[in-house]
Amino acid sequence: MKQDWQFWSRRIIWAVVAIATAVLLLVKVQARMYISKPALSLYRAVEAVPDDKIIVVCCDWEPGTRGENGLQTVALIRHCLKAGKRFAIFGWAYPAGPMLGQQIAERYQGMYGRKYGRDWVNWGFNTGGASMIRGLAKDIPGTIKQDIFHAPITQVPVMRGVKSVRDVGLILEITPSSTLYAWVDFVYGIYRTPIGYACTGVMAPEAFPYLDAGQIIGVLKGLAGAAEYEKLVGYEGDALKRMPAQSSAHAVIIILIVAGNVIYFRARRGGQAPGRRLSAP
Amino acid sequence: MSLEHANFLHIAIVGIISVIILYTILSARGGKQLFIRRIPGLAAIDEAVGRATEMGRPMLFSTGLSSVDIYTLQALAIAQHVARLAARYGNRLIVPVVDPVVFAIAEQLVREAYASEGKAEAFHSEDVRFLSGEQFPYAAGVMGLINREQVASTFFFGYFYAESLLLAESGQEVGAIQIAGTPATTQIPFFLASCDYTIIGDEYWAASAYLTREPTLLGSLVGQDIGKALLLLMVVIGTATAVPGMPLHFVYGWLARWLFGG
Amino acid sequence: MRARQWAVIVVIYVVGGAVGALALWALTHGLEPLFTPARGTAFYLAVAAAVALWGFGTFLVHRLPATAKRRIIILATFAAGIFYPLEFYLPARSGIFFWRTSHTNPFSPMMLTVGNAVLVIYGFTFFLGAFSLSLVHAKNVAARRRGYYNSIAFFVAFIAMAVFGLWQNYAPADQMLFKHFLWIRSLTVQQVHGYLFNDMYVPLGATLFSVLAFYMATAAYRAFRVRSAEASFMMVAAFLVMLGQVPLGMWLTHNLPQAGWLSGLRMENIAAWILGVFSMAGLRAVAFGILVGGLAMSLRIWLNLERGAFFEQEL
Repeated sequence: MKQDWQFWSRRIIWAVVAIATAVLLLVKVQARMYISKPALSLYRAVEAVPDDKIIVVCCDWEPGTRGENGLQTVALIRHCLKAGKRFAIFGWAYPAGPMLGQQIAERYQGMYGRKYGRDWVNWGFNTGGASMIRGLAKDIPGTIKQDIFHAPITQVPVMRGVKSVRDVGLILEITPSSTLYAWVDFVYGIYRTPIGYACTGVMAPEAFPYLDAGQIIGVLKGLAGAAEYEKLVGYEGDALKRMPAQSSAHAVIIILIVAGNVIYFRARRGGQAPGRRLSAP
Repeated sequence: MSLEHANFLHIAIVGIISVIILYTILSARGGKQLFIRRIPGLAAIDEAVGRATEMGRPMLFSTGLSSVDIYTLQALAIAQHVARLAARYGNRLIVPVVDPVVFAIAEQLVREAYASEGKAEAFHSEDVRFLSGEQFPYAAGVMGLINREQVASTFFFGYFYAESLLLAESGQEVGAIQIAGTPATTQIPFFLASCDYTIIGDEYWAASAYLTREPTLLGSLVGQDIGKALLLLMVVIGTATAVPGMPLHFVYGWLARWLFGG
Repeated sequence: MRARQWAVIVVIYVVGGAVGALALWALTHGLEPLFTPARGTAFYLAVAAAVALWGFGTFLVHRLPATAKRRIIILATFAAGIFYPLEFYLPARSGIFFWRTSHTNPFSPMMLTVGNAVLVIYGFTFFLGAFSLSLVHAKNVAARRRGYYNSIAFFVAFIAMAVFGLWQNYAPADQMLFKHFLWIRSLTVQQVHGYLFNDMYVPLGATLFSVLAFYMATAAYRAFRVRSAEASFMMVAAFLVMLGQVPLGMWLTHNLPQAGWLSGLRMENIAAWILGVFSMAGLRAVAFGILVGGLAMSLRIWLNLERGAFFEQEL
């Protein structure tokens, strides 16, 4: 019976979470979002990039984190397109990242009258880790050489005047992993180029020491960060639409924790010793 | 203060801590007895291997998602200890890896462990396998291995990212005893929730010293602790001088100029 | 001494001398002349020379006794490990670099070249993993083990993705795979790659990440037990942070003003404070410990002080 309960309790929990999330994805509910200071700071940093500098949108994420990083990328790229900021898509951790960024930029460029090559470029994927980042900082055309379509990077119109990281106004690192630190060490630490960080919710706490020290200028934390940024840019995208579902999931988890504790204390009072991993009887 | 090359502060901090560590290593090698407290997670490794052997089910050891760096080397050192125990008790140890270079090292390491226990014929090369270079395909592969092989014990040592909970919960589902240790601070809560024993922060570096009781490693551990105490002292001095209103705030300007040249 | 021992000593001195001379030359001239791409006949000669050198070197190393092999590893580890600290800890410009007219750090220009060399070494291991995986699954299929059809699926997926991934990168955009035939419409290589990547690989990856949400619910239900005061604090903090990130929590305190001291009691501000003060302090503390431990382990490996069977095994 104990084994059956452990088997079924998991399935019941999963079903409850699935239903609670699905209902609020299907039913339209207005989400009340307040903008956090890190997201607002990042938005202002993008707005403040001068016209003679380029923004590097580093898509270091893979399809698994599309739900968070993908929506963050959409919001950031739409902001760059809307504000008319020159930007370059790049990636150095996951080969699929720049391609995913390319798909997003191509989808929205027409909406704002922007064009590949004239307003934005894709540097593609480059290996080499921290050494490559140091080389990139000193000489961008020498490190990148060609764009994702194999055209020489120096011949792409949007790359005019971009020689080194001193010609970069902001680096936006969008990633579920720990690729931020190479930018902080080798770019911010040497050249003081502003760095923004868009991460999955799980990685967000690691960003706060750097935010507090001023080494990164703003943070987007997971889906909530993407929703805040959509609100700032001025459109209701998938992130804002999914926030009620996330609320529901969080509420379900809180209820489950309370229920688990109630069951645990009743069992203790009833004299049943908790199991090795203290699962409910 | 540019970080392109080290300044006086970098050299001082790293130099002093390095000298302390080397000094304590040499002291330990000279015969000085050093104490290391009990770390439940590491002490439970023997129990986990024994339990798996009793149940007649294999074990699984994951070295995390990073390539050959100090985190993975530490994980591999622990893996060899576990592999030796597995060989001694006549059990299988499955080691899925995410990096081809780590695969080459891990296969050699596990093979040597079995050979050193006189059980070379018990080693199966398929038990050490490269699954994928990507995060979630690797996680899917490990989850599949855990469920198909019905492992009785799982060991997660190394640098993990979001897949940590996927792996740990899969082990929970099959009722495995789970021991995890990671320097990835954001994954520690997930391991704490799902694993029986979790090794946090510095205990990860203490693992090899704890398991082998080598004087060099114990000495290094003591040196690390002294280094951390020095950093703590710096934090206290920094707080006492940098915060306006604190008693030593008057030295802040001079200290900043001396350290940062500003 | 026997002839073989003399031969070993001579070889070590010759090889060591050559490496030392190369290092001195690199310090004065930089590594770029060595890594300038070759063209035409020079390229093929360079490849042949590299293969010959590799073969001879491997043969030589195999013939050496175990102690010599260990010494070579120790030297190589030390030399590899000293490059980056020298580059960082020596200043950008100083009189100690007297042999250079510009007195600049000779190691800085070598950074990218050394990084590329490391990548090339990694490249050799690329096929190792794929080969091992293929061998495992091939044995499953050959022996018709339980679930061998999954191994067949592995081969189909591996080959399809590799073929179409490479093909679409180099083929023209309208490269046809096959023309319209009966009810099967025409397909281009780009389309097939799109189906494989966008319609299979991407959703599968996202699905697996989504499973995390369900696992988090079961882990939270099972693990969060109020057994002590610390556990209670942790649970309350977890509730506040969870609610502070989502509209539901923001709605609970939306009536409080957005400015003034009462704004500190708004759910999103409480969550931000917990994350930005408490959590950050704890993370910094753990990070200090991990970094100092990393420094210690790096020192031990670099100076050959690391102990344990893995580092002391026979060669």
